[in-house]
Amino acid sequence: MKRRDFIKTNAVAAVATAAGISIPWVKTAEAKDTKIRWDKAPCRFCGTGCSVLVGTKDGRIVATQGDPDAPVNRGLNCIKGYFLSKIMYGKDRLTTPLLRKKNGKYDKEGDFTPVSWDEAFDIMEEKWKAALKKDMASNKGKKPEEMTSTVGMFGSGQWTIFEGYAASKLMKAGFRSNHIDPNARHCMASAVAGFIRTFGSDEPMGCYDDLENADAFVLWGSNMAEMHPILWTRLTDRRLTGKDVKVAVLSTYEHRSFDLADLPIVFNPQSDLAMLNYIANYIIQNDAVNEDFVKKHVKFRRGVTDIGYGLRPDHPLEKAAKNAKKAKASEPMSFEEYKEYVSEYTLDKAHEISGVPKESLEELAKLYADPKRKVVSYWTMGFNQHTRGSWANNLMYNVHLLTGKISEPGNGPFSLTGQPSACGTAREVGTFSHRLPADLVVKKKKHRDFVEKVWRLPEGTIPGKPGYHAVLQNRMLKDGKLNVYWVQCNNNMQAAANLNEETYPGYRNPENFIVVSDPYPTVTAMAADLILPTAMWTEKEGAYGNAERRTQFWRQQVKAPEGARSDLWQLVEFSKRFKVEDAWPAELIAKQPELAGKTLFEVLYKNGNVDKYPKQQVKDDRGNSYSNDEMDAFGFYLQKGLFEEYRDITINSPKGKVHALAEFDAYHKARGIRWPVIDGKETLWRYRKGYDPQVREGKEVDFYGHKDGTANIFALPYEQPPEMPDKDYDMWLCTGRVLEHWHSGSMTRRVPELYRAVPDAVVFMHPDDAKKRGLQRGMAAKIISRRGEIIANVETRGRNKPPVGLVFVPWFDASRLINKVTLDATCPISKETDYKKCAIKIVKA
Amino acid sequence: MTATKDTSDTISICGVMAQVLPDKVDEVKARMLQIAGLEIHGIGEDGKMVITVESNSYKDTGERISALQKLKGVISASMIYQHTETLEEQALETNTAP
Repeated sequence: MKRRDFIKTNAVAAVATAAGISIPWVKTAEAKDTKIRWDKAPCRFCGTGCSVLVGTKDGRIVATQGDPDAPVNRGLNCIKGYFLSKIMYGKDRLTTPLLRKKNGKYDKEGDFTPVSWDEAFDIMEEKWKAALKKDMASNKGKKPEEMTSTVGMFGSGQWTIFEGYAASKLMKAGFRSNHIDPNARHCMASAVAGFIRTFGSDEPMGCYDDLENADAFVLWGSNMAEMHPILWTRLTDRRLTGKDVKVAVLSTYEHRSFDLADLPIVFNPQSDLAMLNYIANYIIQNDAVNEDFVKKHVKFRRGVTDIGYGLRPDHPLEKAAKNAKKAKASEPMSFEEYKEYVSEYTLDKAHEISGVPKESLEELAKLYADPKRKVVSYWTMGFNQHTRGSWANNLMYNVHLLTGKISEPGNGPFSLTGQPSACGTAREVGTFSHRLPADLVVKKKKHRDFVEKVWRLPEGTIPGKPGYHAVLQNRMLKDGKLNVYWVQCNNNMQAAANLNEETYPGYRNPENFIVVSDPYPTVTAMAADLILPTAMWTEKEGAYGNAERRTQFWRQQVKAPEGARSDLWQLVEFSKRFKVEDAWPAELIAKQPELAGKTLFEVLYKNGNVDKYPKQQVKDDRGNSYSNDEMDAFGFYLQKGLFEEYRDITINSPKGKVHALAEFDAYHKARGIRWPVIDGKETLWRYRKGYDPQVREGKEVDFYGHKDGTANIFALPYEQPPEMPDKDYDMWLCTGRVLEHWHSGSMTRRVPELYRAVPDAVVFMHPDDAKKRGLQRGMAAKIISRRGEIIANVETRGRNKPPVGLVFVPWFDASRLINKVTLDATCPISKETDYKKCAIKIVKA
Repeated sequence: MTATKDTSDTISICGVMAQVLPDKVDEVKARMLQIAGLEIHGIGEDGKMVITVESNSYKDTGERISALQKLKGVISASMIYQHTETLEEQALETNTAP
């Protein structure tokens, strides 16, 4: 057989198996290519967590296949998966540190010049030590709750679990600064706040198995067809093969997911709040409340209103907001009072605010109200990137709690994630400015004490005040209050809102030293003072956690290009540059005198926990061997030590085993395991007897995130967004993504064919809106807000079809930085930016 | 969809499963076959299709599957298997094989 035919037969065989279609002629030829070494790895792109078989030959990835043994994707990958093997081989891959220099010396205004790793760390060390010295002086005699810091770090939901954990430890304990936050703040923070407020525990109760068990799916602000195609494929299967299965798709513009919608709904921006309250009211008015469930498992609370928009305190909108300073506050109320509260959200009112036909609103409410219908609600950025994002999440839970449609197969609210480890790393290991691992928080002394004990550190090491969150970090850089700043694994110059007024001035502030670690010269890297070249994906051993609480590991498959080192290596190697005396005051060291004179490397990583597992050859159960460059560099199995120390926190936490993980080695064998892992078994549906062994004796449902086992229903109103179209800026702008470019495109844009598929950012608009402004498809248009402007080409016939009055601009194009236009208003509770709505005008360019 | 001219000496093959609404199969199939290098190997009653897309370069195959994914009537297109190798590499192997 010719080589081409052999490869093709393998391809056909793999597809036929995945599709469940038998093709007689391929049976004879299912021989595997013996020259290729195959091993599993979770995909690098989104939060679905598909497993990929990675085929390596001669140290290079030559083939990939959807992993047939993976429960998440069952042999499928989406189109993004095609490009996985290419993202590491971009032509402009960085292989040497680059420092801004003038006349042979570092200069903020200098040009990027190749330097050695030693020189790169020398200048970093100098800048960090100066900042730490300043911090130690200003913190003299202060309690942990009062400490401040000028050291900051911005990380990522694309960090591996090991990297996020190591970074959090270096910042919170080593440098004693809580100013570490992940870019997941921009996509997941509202979901986190919603989960914590309602259930007292982060992340969904259900899992992807709901996809095969629900009778109705409601997509609230999620374009699953493009953003989570594999889950969409599973949903499509259920829709086409199940009996009377319904799909409702809600969005502020029409997109690909509408192709399958039985109930398509385009609504006015922000009106999701009104629609959710209407559904709750409909459920009550039509006697569809699950009274028994509500009586036993639910409490009611009235949240404060008029909470502002998370803008700078001197912004007129913040000054005008009554409760901006206590946005999270709420007080108990009765069910009767709650009924009264939502009764104003009538069909008429919901229709008036949302612009959605009354029949559609009623049909939607009926899906939830019908006791015989199992419903899953999915959402992503539509809910989360919202100035009332935490409220939207809370209101969604209200609907599922009123009906008891939660925590069982086919019933439940489920927030999807955009990054491969937004859950596993950003949320679970505690890389947020207020968090510690496993739902613990810096604010609580008991939590800090416990973590310090596991980390073998003196009491009072971790500061007690939440640090600067993502948006605040940029403002504090600009104000000169954050002076040394390390960015890893994200492209925040392109991602953060309000680039012109906050981010760029912050990075270029002469008082600051900015370091960016990245495999590629992204916009963010180019705005830094020092760039560190980074190893990516399977160039290192790693672990991610997906949206259904599934933790997945991979082994190092290939070597990074000479000169590039993993984020993990960078963090741990840099810690060797500091003596504990450089960062901690004498009183703290005196509490544990044996730490005196040691380096932060010794204190944090060579601490008896992390260095517990000796250097060894990594092997799979088929006898293949793999490299581990970090193990070679540090002389012990760093990833395993970090994970086992982290696991210790998850199983011995003061909150119980609510977050318990399995042993390190188990993950290298399994296709992921969903936490909490109790007695070696994963948990598919949390909080319900029969599915979750942690439900307490005598209870059917136990929301054990709260001590009394109940969940909160919050009474919260519809409130207007900070900016709405007016006579000067007469349209809504919504931003988002398209399938071919993930995140900010820093990886996918390196793949020329992907770049060509959607070459330049376009502005999707209604033909009538275009015509009114003298524009036609393909013409250049200027999109102008009160903050900035960009130029993009008009698209009136694309796959995204906005209604009159709204335009949609994808967010991946480094040459068309839409975030010059967007407003940095956030949800005051979650601090997540609203990228989905601001007022703009459009004119011919 | 016009692919760039195949110039490189590469085998690049991608196996794709496409989902089409069962009553639209014929109509969408015709549109699919306009894509160069695309073959349909089997169609299930549920509208699932077994497809390969091939060309002589990684980038052309990539463009073609992107086009397939965007095609009207394709509810979803899943990448199942992709393999790219150059003829040079094969030649090398042939020469060094014992």
